[in-house]
Amino acid sequence: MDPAMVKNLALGAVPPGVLALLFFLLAWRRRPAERAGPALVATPIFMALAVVFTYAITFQTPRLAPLAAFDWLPIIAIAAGVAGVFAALERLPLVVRWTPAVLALLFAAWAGAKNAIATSWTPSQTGAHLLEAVVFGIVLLGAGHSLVSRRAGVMPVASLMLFAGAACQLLVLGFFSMKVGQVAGMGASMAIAALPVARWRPATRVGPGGMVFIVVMTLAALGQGRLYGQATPEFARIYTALLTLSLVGGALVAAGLGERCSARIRTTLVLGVVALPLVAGLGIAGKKWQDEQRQQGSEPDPYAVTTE
Amino acid sequence: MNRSKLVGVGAVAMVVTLGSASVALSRAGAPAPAPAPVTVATADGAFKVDSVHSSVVFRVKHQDVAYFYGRFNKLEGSFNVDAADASKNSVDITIPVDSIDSANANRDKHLKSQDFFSATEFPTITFKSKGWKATAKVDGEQAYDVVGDLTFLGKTKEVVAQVRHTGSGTGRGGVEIAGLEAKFTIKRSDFGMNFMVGKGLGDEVTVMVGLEGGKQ
Repeated sequence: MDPAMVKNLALGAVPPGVLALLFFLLAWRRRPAERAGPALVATPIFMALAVVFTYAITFQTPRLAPLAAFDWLPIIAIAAGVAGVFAALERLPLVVRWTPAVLALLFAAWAGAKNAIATSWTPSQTGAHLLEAVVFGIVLLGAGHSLVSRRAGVMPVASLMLFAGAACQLLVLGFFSMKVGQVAGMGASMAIAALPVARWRPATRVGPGGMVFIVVMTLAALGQGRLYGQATPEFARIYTALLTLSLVGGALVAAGLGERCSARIRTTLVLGVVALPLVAGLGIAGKKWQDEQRQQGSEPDPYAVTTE
Repeated sequence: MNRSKLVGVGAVAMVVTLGSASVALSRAGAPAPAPAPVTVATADGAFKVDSVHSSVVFRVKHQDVAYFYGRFNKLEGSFNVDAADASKNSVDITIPVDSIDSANANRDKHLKSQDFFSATEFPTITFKSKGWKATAKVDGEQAYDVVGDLTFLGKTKEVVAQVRHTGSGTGRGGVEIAGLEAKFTIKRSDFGMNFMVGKGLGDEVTVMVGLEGGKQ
């Protein structure tokens, strides 16, 4: 890999990870679990600011008047952060608490497709796109809420890491969208950084706010990859289904197991289910890539997105 | 051509000239005939771009070491050339981004992604001239400084292209044809294409366009 590409990848991954490590260490410093409220509310605010900052130093100064779908991502990050704050305010009525998350999904889907909506899509195409994004998002937010929101420790953080990390891999390797993949990867970086803190201080929670932020941002990036990436529609559909299955399967297994087994076994089983579709997906992608190489000739293709 | 052939051609020309003169004299007093149509192309007029014989090539520096060249395989549009009055000249071309060709299928996919051209989101690159200023001839070809609007990635910026009228003539089927060549350099970051700028891929991109068009 080119040194310049390594630098670019590091710029997108290391700052959010380091910032998240500091944030989670500070936020969960000797904090009893019952007094977690401020930390849970601060989590989506921190995440939004970290993504905007990393976007600015890695790609470009955020634009107040976005032109391309990619320009909208920092604004979507702010919207996801605000939605996360509402979700973290657990005393709010259910509708008030979750409506901003649905609106953030809708906004992300609209902003990502804005140019197509303005130039070539029919109203029915636009409606179908927005509806699909919102329904798909609600399913994943529901699974994420069940798996992550109320649970503390390693398992919920690792589940989010696997989800966002797999989306990042998909976008970079499958869709040829390095930049958008890196934005999804920022969520994975922050989750990776929270892992040692959660291991060290088991009361650590990402909470509903952090979950909403990571799921909305991951879906925003994934939505842009599906619209503008260069993967075949079949590949995009298969991998999106696997990502959905990952989070939904993990939530179902976690709910089914309940307290019937030790925390260690529960974590292992849930993460195994969360990771299984993703591992299978990577296997499919790897085999497909190998087949393409064989079709192109005996020599391996010297170009990959990460070699530039 | 040797001397005997030159003499032969000269003799034929004299016979034709004398013959014409005698015909003209015999018709003295009759209304003057309409002038024969000019068969040598003057290059003046509006031309439709012949995409098969036109090219768009670009170059960008890789790793600050070597220039890499790529091309777009399709373009369409028209241009207008008026040898006597540069202000009447114009060029309006559209390049489908999807036709980018870097001689590597995976790199082409990457170039079409949001990292670079976002081809699905912004399917075309356009250039529309706004002003032509004739400059000194280069290698016997009339040159111009052409100011125009270049649009890609949803952003329009004014660029100045060095354009030369590279030739004119008669193509297949007797169609008048003319050619232009343009060259200009842009900073891709000005259009929002920031990926890897300063990190292995140059910001400056030089674009070279060779246009051949048939008279409309």
